[in-house]
Amino acid sequence: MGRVGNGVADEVVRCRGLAKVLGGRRVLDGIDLTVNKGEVFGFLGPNGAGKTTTIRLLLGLSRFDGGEAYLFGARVPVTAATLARVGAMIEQPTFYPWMSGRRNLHVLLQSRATPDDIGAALEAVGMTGAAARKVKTYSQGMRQRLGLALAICGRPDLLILDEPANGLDPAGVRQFRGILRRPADGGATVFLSSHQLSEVERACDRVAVIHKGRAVAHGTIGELGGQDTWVQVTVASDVEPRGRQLLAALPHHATAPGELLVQASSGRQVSELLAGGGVFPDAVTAAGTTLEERFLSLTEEA
Amino acid sequence: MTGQLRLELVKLARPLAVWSAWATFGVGVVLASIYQASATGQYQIAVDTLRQFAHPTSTAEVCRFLSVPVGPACEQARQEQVGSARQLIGDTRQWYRLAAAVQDPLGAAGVAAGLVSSLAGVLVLAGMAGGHVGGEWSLGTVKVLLAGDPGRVRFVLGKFWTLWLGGTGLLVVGWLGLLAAGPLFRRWYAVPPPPAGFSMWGYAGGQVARALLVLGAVAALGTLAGVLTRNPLGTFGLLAGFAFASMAASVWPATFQLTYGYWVAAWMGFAPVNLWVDHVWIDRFPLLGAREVHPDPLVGLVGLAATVMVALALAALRMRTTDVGG
Repeated sequence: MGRVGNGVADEVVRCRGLAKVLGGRRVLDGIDLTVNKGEVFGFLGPNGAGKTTTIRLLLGLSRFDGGEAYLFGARVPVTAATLARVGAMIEQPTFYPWMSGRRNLHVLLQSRATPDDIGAALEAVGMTGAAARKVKTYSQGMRQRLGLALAICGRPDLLILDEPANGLDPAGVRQFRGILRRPADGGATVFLSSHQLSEVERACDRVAVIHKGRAVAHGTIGELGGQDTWVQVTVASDVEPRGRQLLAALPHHATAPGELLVQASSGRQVSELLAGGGVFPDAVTAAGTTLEERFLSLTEEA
Repeated sequence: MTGQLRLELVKLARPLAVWSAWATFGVGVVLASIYQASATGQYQIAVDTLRQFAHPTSTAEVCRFLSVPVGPACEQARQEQVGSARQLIGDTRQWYRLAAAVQDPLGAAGVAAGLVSSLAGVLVLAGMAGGHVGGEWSLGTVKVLLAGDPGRVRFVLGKFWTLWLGGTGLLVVGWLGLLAAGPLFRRWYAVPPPPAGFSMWGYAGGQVARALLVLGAVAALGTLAGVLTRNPLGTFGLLAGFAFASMAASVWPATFQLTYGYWVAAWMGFAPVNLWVDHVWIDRFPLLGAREVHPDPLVGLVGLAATVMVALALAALRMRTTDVGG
């Protein structure tokens, strides 16, 4: 893998020891993360963890007080030419309420997008019909869609989205998932900041968890257990040793006599393994995703 | 930069904010000029007085009008009336540029330039700066703009130029208002003949050219107020407060030459308000002092040019060294 500047050729985003102090409080405390070309990267963290601050630093909207960051190998703050490769949606989408949706995109993109690009972006988010209406008449969901259109307009190489599914109805969330995968399938990179675990789990290849300004975990969804769920299994006490033997291939532990908590892709997988060895469980119930467990365990401590 | 300037103008042309500000200013200029035009009545009174007393058809009638018995006392009173009338005609001829300007299509531009450079212009432009500069933060659009184009200095210059253009738009609107009202002024009010060597081109051209620098100073101050306060009301308050504070400070003998109000009045050559009102601004320096000061245009030029440069430098510095927010 060749190096470009201080970054690696395939590294689209790279942060090392990123720090930010706001009002005397260290809101970012040495963030390290790398996002590679073509991946959908989930940036998870509870409210106030420092997700939006990190994005602001990457986009040059805020100065960092320590560490360094690179976009496409160029040190942040980057030039206009590098930023032109980035589409961003930061916090709640903001527009000029007295202008139409289409005019807003034209003005906010500052002539970086052609009318065709704008038309395509509006179509992708299902806003073509409302594009001529003034933004002040839009619902929250429509504003969110227009914000997505703004971010994806002109097919940027890097899409940075900060809580993009907020305010979207279920149909909008589903559509958003499709929008999210499309740039990645076309070779672009997506940096998705969210606290909605289910969205991140479904959409992302790799995840970093941030808490109190620190990256406390990172890895693929699989590495963080995100593709599995916790399954609670109840078996008779006398067959429990045999059951644990049959489940040896899966991470598990006993929570009480005859009660096992197993990390598996589904309850069915657990049932089949046990039944194949002649152990028939009294009950098999889903006990939450492992990513959720992991996220909560990482972020709930005092 | 041209493309950005065009987009900034698109944003400036905000229906309620800008169009209503321009309309208000246009009407205000016309109303102010009605007052100005009505003062030309003094010239007509002086001409009629001179005609009545300089060559009377009947001495007895003049003496009866003056309530003085026919004789030396009446003659003295008549001579006094003639002298006063001639003095008033002379004075009003000196006012010609202002009296005629509101009736003259070209001169009206000079009057509009004076008014847009005065306190009235500062207040309207403060409102425009509030929406155009401070509004980017209150709407939250500044972060979208700067996330796409990191040029902070470009952002400051774009705001400055469009505010300046908005100010020149005010001047044009004021001029158009006077052009529309001109036929009425000409019909209602007599204008004294021009003094020797007077040029309406010179008056109007000079005022408009000078006003462009004053508008530059207001635009720079409005941009600075916007990036400092980051909200519309704060921007308006800071700029309006600055103008009033400058007027207040300009009455003190120790500081008046260092105030923005002095620089504007000196550069524009505003006539003292008791003579004529083509502006809404303090123009007698220092009001509390014993001596009458004749403002120096060169000091005004240097002061205003420095205002533009310092305000833009501070605005750019603020943008470059602080987080964007919004």
